[in-house]
Amino acid sequence: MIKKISILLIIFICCIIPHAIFAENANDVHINASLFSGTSFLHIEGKSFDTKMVPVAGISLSSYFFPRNIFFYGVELAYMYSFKSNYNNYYYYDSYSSLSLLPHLGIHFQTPSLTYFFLLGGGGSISFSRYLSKNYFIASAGAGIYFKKFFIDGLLLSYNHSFFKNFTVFETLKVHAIIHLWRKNQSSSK
Amino acid sequence: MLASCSFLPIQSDTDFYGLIIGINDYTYLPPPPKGDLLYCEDDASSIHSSLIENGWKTEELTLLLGSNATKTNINNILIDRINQANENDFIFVFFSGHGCRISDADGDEPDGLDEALVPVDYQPANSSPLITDDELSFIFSACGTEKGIFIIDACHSGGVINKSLAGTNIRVKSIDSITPKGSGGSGDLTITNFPVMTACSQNEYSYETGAFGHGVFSYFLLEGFQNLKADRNKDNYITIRELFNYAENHTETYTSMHAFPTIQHPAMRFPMDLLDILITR
Repeated sequence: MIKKISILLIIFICCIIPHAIFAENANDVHINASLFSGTSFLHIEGKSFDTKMVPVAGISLSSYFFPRNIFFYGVELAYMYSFKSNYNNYYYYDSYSSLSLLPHLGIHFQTPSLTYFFLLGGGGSISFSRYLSKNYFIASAGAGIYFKKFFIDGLLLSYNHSFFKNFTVFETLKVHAIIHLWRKNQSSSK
Repeated sequence: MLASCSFLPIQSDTDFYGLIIGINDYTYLPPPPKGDLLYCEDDASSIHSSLIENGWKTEELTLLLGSNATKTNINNILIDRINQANENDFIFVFFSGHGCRISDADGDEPDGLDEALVPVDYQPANSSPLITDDELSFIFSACGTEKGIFIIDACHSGGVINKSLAGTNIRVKSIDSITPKGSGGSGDLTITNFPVMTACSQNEYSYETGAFGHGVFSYFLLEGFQNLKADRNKDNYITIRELFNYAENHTETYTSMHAFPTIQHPAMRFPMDLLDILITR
């Protein structure tokens, strides 16, 4: 597990370096942290198992590079804990931890009151269920909207669809409270 | 957050069906250690009692012991339970007795052999009273639910789910007081969407011992039920995975430390990831 975490950290750092290289041509470079919580909907393939809702929570580290247009891109490294489901009908989906690396592509534009960011991303996570003592790889893709003027440094609402063998439904809705750790704003320095 | 609270009352429309089989005294086999077994009926009776102690109702369980465990009775009751169960229901099947293998009649087994459970009316010269893995697969193909467990405590029982440990470090010694169950072999029980748990792997014996008065694997299943010892996550329920983990670890440890002719490695096929099913209520 530690080896896999190290690999993901190395990949994340490798993704930040291009930001630093290309930052001179950018309006902004952001490195953010976030706390998030939300809900996952799980439904395994099979006639005996229904959709169950489980709470999720976690932290993430993300970096975004904003070229001088409405597009931007970045990458998010996130740790998420998914809680155990209820026991209705005498089965449950177990809790698990996951470490995800999700490249993002987005657009941003400003209205008189809010700055909107629409994100699209895809990637994978390594998930570990301690009780089941198993590692899983879960691929996922999602989208999000970022409201800049809320909370500390903005709120991000995100939706992820995950792809996992056996699962017909694996959807996650999350609310992220964003904190800017570091920002390089070239336009403001001129 | 409430969704994760295991202490909340369980809402359920699940009905429970159980069939528990144990056979010591085979009609046409010689006495132990060459034929009959000593503790399989105790295994079955104790599993029955453990389920009752853990929330099952007497009317949900059928206990077939000794002379009642004929092929006709076993098949009829199993088919009846499977036909009654809908997709939300839970089926528990337990077999403790002999297992064996015969030549594959329909050519569907790569190793040319069918695995079989041996009912009480088995005659050595006539294979027809056996319950082959093909027959079990046919019966379970009509099963409306994927929720339940089929536990087999018989020699070479891991062969029915094709989990071979061939080539592993298995020591062979001879101890007369231990009675191996059946002669077994390799093969596949093609129940792909229903959990199956076996007492040993394909190339191993499943032992019963006077020290416990039970089969070793069955004993540790029973111990797992006792005072919720197998309840690894302390939620006051025992699940299929928890029960298997408990019995597997203890069976392997016990057979490796007590000079059994071979170490017993229980096996389980549980097709559903990130999911567990409760046995106790």
